[in-house]
Amino acid sequence: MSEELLLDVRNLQKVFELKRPWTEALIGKKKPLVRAVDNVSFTIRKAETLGIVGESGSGKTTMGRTVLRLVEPTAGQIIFNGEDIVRFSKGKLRKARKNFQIIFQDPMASLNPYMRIGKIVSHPLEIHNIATPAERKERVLSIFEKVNLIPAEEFYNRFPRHLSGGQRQRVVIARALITNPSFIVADEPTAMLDVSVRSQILKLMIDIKSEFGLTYLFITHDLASAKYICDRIGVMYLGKIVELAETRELFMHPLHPYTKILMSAVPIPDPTLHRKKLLPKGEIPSATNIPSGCRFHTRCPFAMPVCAQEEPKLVDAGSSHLVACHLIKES
Amino acid sequence: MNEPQVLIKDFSVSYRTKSGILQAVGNVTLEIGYHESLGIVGESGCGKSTLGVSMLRLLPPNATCKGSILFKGDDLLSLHPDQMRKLRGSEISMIFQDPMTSLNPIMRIRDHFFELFRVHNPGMQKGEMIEIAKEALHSVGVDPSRLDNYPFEFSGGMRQRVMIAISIALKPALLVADEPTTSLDVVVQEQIMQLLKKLKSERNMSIMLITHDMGIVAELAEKVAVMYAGRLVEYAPVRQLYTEPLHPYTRLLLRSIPNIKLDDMDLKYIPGSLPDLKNPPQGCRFYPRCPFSRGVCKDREPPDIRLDDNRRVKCWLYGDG
Repeated sequence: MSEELLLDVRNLQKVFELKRPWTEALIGKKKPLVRAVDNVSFTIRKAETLGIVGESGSGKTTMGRTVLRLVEPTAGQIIFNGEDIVRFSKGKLRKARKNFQIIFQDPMASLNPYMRIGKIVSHPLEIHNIATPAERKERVLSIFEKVNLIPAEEFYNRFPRHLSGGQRQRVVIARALITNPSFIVADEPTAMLDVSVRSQILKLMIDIKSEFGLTYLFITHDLASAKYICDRIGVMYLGKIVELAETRELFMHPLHPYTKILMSAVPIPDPTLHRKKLLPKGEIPSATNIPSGCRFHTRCPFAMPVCAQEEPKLVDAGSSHLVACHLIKES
Repeated sequence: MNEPQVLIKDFSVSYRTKSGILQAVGNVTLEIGYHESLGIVGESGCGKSTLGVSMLRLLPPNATCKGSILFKGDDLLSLHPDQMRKLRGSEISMIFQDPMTSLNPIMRIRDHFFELFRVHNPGMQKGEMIEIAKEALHSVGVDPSRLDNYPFEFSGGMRQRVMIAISIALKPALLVADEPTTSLDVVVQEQIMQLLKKLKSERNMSIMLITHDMGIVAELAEKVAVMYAGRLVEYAPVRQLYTEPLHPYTRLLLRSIPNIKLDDMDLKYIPGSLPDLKNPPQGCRFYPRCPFSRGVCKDREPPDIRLDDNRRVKCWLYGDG
């Protein structure tokens, strides 16, 4: 892993405006705001995999899409390879898109059911006007082999409905790889798959990473999958990163109460084990109504009076282990 | 005396489809004792949901069953539809994977309860109905005052709690839980699992927990049945299954689960994919992916080999072939 940064995200913000009934508009009430991504900063080095974990509603998917400008950010900078892509014009962004791709969660919903697999995967080449039609087919076939869709010729003319869930996800990966990108956002790529297939796809993603020299932003709610693939992991809660550390460090010394809760909630396939479980109170609050102070204080088993008033800063607790919690002192 | 609450015997389900007959469950024999929790694990398409739905006789019209399912001695498959309706919800009830699609979006929560009560107890007074409904909501940790809310006013986890409240309101003897936490987050999943554990001991229910997650089974089930491609391949008490799995599929499955232990960074998986059920392998259904397969595995399907009262395995490694 080099020290060179591929991606430097600074103070990224995405605020959605919700609709209000016209009666409320009449009396001048403001539209409710959803702070899906709230001032998030992080960096990803070349050839690194940064994991983002959190519950549904934590803003992790919105963040992944905002980083690629599939959702326009409200504020912040996204510096990709030295250039701020937030300032790119539409045309320039479109050209640049071949360098950063995305793998979606649901392989059925992200493949056009009326397009043949070969066409789906060669489509990005047509859009970016890369290679001649004959060369395109060559490229598609060779990428099929890389993602283990074999025999490639046979898959080329099939439709998504003929494929199993795991095979479809391989098609989605092939489509992301075809333009030879340097950066891929993987948004829960294994969440919809069966256990035995899940590990196959995870393994494939690890293998192609080194083969194609990729850098990943790996979004998941599954800490166990994140462990195998991520170099560093950020834990997100209600639009903010509350803890960020190297994978090993995070698993050995989780500092934030939310991270500890996430870890203890992972079911362990061992009936002889009796763990004391840490459970939060209630469920994740709505992003339209973010609690004051530390946004986790309403569910935190260790909340103190200060937590309701003051928002903790993300500080380095030693060896690049960042955490935002009043219980933890900066070192 | 020792008769189990549920005895599933040589039970098979086939679906008629446009492209041929598909046997989803083949010759399954299983029992669930009183107050016992049985986990049924397997991947999509292994027949576990079909088996669960069969417990309530809610299979689609293109399905045909063979064998028998004895519930407290009565064969569910030969009951009159009216008798079956009486059992559903009061003796056997079910919770489904997706709590949004299993609640009616334009009915208040109270009306979901009332519908159930009217079927089973037409003479029940409104006051009594509200009381039972409130008690049920209370026992699953939902504020009873939310009885007048609509499903959309609840979060996913809360909806699943409401579903559970409805299904246990009439104190059923058996709760079939089909992937009850799959669409929920880890933290909420943990809360729901704790709730099911609590309800099981408080209400003396049996639970049939259908899931693909070996971690969840380890936490809740006492016995486990592993299914593969429509066959029950292994049945064992939970500890034995995890400490000494016998069937090669169970062994590989247990090894291939991503875990959070740091000393295990090697990602293992089962090569290959599930067989096509319309055209299954002739012998053992797992043999194309099995590292221990022999000639006999390809030609003949292994029998159920009974090792002791609580332990069965369907594999030629454990019997002469």
